[in-house]
Parts: sequence; C-alpha cells; structure tokens
Amino acid sequence: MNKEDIPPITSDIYIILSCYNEEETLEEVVDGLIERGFKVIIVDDGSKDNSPIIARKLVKKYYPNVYHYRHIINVGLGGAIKTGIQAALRKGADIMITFDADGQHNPDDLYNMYPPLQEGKADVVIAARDFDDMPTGRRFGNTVMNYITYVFQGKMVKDSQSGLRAFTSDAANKLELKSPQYGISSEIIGEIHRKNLKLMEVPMTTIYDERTIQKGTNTLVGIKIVLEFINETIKR
Amino acid sequence: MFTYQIILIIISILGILLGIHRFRDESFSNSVFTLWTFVWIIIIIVTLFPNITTYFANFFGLGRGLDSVYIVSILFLFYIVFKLYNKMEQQKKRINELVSQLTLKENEE
Repeated sequence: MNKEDIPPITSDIYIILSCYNEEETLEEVVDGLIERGFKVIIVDDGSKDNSPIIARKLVKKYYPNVYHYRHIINVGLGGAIKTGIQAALRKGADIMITFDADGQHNPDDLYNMYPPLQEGKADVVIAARDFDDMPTGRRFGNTVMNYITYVFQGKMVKDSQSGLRAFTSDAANKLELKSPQYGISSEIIGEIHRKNLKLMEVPMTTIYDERTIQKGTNTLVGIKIVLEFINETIKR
Repeated sequence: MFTYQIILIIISILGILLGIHRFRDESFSNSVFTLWTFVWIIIIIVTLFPNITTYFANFFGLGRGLDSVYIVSILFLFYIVFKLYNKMEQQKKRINELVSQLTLKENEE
C-alpha cells in the first residue's frame, strides 16, 4: 500500500497479540505492527519456549509502545483475549484489535479495520477470510462453525472464527466473555448480537503455511466448542 | 448370610468411616457428607434385605429387583458426573480469572 493511501491513526490504538509458544514469529509480527504506528500488548499465555524472553526484549526495544503481560499458566485463547482487553482498557485505549502472533495475519489488513471505528461507523469490525482461498477441509470446518455459531449465538457472520477483530473501548467494556478457549470467537459474535453492537465485516488476506494450518481450529477443537456451547446453554 | 452380603457390608462401613474422616478434616461439606452416608446406608439396607428391590421393581414395572438397582445406580452416576463436570468448569473459570487478575496486577506495579 502507498504511504499516502494509509488511513491516518487519530486515536489510541492497541493491538492485543495473544501468544502461546510463538518464538519463531513473535519478533517479526511485533516489528511489523510497530512500523505501522500501533501500540502492542503481548499477552503471553504461559508459553514454554523463548517467547517471554523475546517479548521482554521487544518491550525494551520499543519502549513505551510494547507491553508484555504474562499468564503464569496456560489458560487458553479466551483467557488471553480477556486479559488483553482489560489491559488495553486500563491503558486508556480508544480502539483495540486482536491479532494472532503466529504470523498468519497480514498487518496491512489493519488499515481496513480502524477507520470505521474512528469515524463512528461501527462498534466492532471483524475481518473475514476469503473461504475460497482456504484448503478444502478448512473451508468446510469454518462453514460448519459459522452455522454452529448461528444456532448457539443467534447471529450469522461471514467468518465466525476470525482472529482479527477490532473494538471501540465502549464496545469492549460491554462484552461479557466467559469462554476460556477457542469458543471465545463465537462468543464474541453472540455478545455483539446480545449487546446490539454495530458490526462491520471487512475482507482480509490470510497467509497459510504448514504451521498456521496446524495451529488453527481443527475438528477436535470444533467438537470442544460445540460441547462448551451445549453446557452453557443447559446452564442458562 | 451370603459372602457377597458380608463383602458389601464391610465396603459400606469403610465408606461411611471414610466419609466421617473426610467430614472431620473438612474435605466434605455437610450436604456431601449427608448424601454420602445416606447412599451407603441404602446399600447396607438393600444388601441385608434384597427383597426390597423386588418390591421397588414391581412398583415401577421393571422385571427384576436387580434391574432397578442397575437403573438407579446408572442415573445416580450420571448425575454425579454432570455435577463434577460443572464443578470442574467453574473451577477452570475461577482459575482463569485469577491468572488474568494476577497478570494485570503484576503489570501495574
């Protein structure tokens, strides 16, 4: 993207980078985000590799634009996102964007995400992957998850499992999130629906390689999400 | 008295003693201790008077006394598993919340 085409950042934007054993990609991802003028909150969810050492190095290197929050044990993606949202709110963020530290997200996609929030056109922006570009198994799984999200959370979206989501601080404050694991993605969709938040979906590019394919939502994770929803529904 | 009755009664008494021990060191709450003791007493009664299960089975229209014992046991176990699962989920959520708050607090200092 040409420099003059980049939408200006007029608010305090924090990227919530949830990270679990991402020593190979963490530095590169943070470099890319800082270059583009964002502040970064690394939420290290109890990594057992060198991620915490790299994170601390990045905090020093980019002081005061990178923060490192470390969970003493691994609690799951949902827990990491909740900690990240709380941290961003406490830092006085106007906008916060969840981003994956495994290198599957393209930081240029962020340019589609914050302008609608800055202009007050939406409360939440979710970047949807192009399902036609996905490997077949992955496409099928994500389509099924969209329908499952619709059944349990009451809202149909283009990509319910997208990890790239932007919230205004007001919207983030309203979210009541309970899911500790991968169920968080669908739960956020449900909360957008229940709290009547204005949602905008924008396109994104996804970088698929062997590593990111292994890490994403697989069938077993899908089944766990469904069980979690059933349990929550019974208890409601 | 048959051998199985003696074995079951010994196991039940051990169960009750274990319950008392757990209750004393506060691992069991009042309600859990009451339920625990109640279940073992029922087992002792059924062991001493097996005919009770036949009355019970006839009352519910089941074939044999033993069948009613199986059905009640399975239902009871399902209930316990469900309870345990919920408890575990609750604990997991509490631990997550604790980890999250600890992390936030640590960074504020």
